[in-house]
Amino acid sequence: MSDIDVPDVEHQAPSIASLARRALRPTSPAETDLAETDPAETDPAETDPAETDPADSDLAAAAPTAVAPHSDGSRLVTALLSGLVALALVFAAISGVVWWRAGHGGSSREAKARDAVLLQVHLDLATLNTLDYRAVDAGLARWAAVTTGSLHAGIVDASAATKSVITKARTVTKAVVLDAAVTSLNLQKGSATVIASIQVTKTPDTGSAVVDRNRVSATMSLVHGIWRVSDLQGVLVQLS
Amino acid sequence: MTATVIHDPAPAVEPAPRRWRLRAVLVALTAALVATGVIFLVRAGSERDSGAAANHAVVDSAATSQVVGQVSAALNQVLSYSYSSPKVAQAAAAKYLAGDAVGQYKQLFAQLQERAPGQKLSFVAKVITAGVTSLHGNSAQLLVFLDQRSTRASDNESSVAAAQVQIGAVRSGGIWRITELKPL
Repeated sequence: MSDIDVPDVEHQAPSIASLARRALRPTSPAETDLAETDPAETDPAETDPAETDPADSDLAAAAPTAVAPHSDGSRLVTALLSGLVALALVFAAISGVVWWRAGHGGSSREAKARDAVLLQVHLDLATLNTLDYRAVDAGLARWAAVTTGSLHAGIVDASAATKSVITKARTVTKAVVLDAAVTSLNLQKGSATVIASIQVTKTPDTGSAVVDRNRVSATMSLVHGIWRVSDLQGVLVQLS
Repeated sequence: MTATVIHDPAPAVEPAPRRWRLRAVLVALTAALVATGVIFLVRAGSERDSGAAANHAVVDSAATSQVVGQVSAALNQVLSYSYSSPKVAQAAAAKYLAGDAVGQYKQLFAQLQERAPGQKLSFVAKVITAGVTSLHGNSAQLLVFLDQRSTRASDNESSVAAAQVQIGAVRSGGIWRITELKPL
């Protein structure tokens, strides 16, 4: 926008100003000169009909002979064009706001947060269901990295006894999240609840692998811009 | 600028050309502003119609709970079957199933009818929890956890299965119907 109009204005402004001076000097004072050149020509972007019209009519009243070459019709066209610029400016401003709100509005922010939660759930719930008995510390460190709150504290504080139980089980578990859905989202609190279907493959040291499909629900919490798992529960059978 | 004005060598000319130049600037300015506005609106439209914001799941809480509520109620009815009154589930299926789900259910139903009269089988389904993964206007995808208890009247043996199903649903006439039922 400014790329187009700035060079134009600078290019033509000198001759407009000088023309105005030449035309007006014999009959009108310098004030009238300024009144016309300043608002109407040097800054067309700011122009609107309310500004150009009075300037033009003041001039006409002060120096009728100087402006004689401009007919009323010609001035009307300029005023109308200025009005169009003003309308176009309003239109551009409104559509700019519409665009900004489409990308940053409340529902757009929520939608992006929902997708961020889901992406993190797919990664983190797989991590939290994956463990190799031969590398328990490394596995627990990965669990700790994706969790927060009491769940995180429990993993970090895992006792030697717990670790030895895992080691003795001599099983490698690997997990894939088959599907997940956000069931609630609260951006003010920075928390979300999700449900997920997880396929867990347990491969014992000796024997064949067993594949389970687990139903889980998890609570995700936003910590420094990253969604972390703060709670993880199995969804148990409720019919008896 | 003032310097140029002073040294302007142009001789006195008629004021008409400057009018035209001013008009050209105003027209160009209008065109540039309108073009800018149109670009903003097009971008706003594509922002709305694609990507995260186009999916109303969770974000539109009223529409989300409507689809969850209707699909859950439909599944509870369609997947609950009693050998003594098979028409109840059949009627629910006719009401709430559409698309591929109709064929899938008919197949399942035919197998049940073959076995159920002899074994006196009954099923009770209960949706435990459900979440919407995608919601675009009149079509939705859900992840549903449901329990299904099957009972054999002959020996009163019953067992409960924990199921996870992906559901596809479409809305027509204000009613959500299940078009796909895929156990995980």
